[in-house]
Amino acid sequence: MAFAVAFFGGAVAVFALVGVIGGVLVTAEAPRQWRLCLGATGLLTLAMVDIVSMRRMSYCPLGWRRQTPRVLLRRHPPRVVAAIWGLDTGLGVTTIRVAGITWGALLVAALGLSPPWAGLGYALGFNGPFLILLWRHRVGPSSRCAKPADPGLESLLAQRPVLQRMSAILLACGGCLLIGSAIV
Amino acid sequence: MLDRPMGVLHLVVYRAIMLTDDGLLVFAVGLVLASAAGFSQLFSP
Repeated sequence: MAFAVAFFGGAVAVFALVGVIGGVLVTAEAPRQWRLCLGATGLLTLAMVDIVSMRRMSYCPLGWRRQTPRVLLRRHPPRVVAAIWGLDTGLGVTTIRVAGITWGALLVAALGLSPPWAGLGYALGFNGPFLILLWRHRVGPSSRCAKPADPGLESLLAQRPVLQRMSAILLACGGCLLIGSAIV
Repeated sequence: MLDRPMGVLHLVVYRAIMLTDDGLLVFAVGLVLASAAGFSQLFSP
């Protein structure tokens, strides 16, 4: 639970911060049409980055290729580590990205095209399925196994290309909708 | 005269344009992207 709460805080904070910085640097100066065109270009570029990543069978090349260090487990109590891990993942920019869609969501927030509370969507998009997975693991068949059961992590990681395809489609659709909004 | 599927399509396009006028469609794009971005991180290594 500490992980989920920290993730929530990190996600809401980073989107709000990006929105404020974008508001000062971009939104106040640039007309809406210009921001829509810039957003559309960015989203379509990120869609292409996802397609390239998918073909290379790798994760998103943009951003830090790091994960929260496991060594923390030896230095701090589990609840503190869970909170640090959740915050680190929730911040969205400090750990490795599966697909370019996070950068797309942050770009749209920076351009003032999404609400400043879009981080709530980011947090719910992660925490909702995450809590359901935790709950299923506790009450599902694996809870009745005598031996430790496979939590399905490997099969989850194997879904990377599917996620990248979904990301590319959503980014391309989002880009087209922004172009449409700029024209209308 | 429009048949039923085309009528529905026209209605959807019309509603989308109305939402665009209000800026809600762009807001929805941002929220959908953010939610999907959060979901995608479930699959991070």
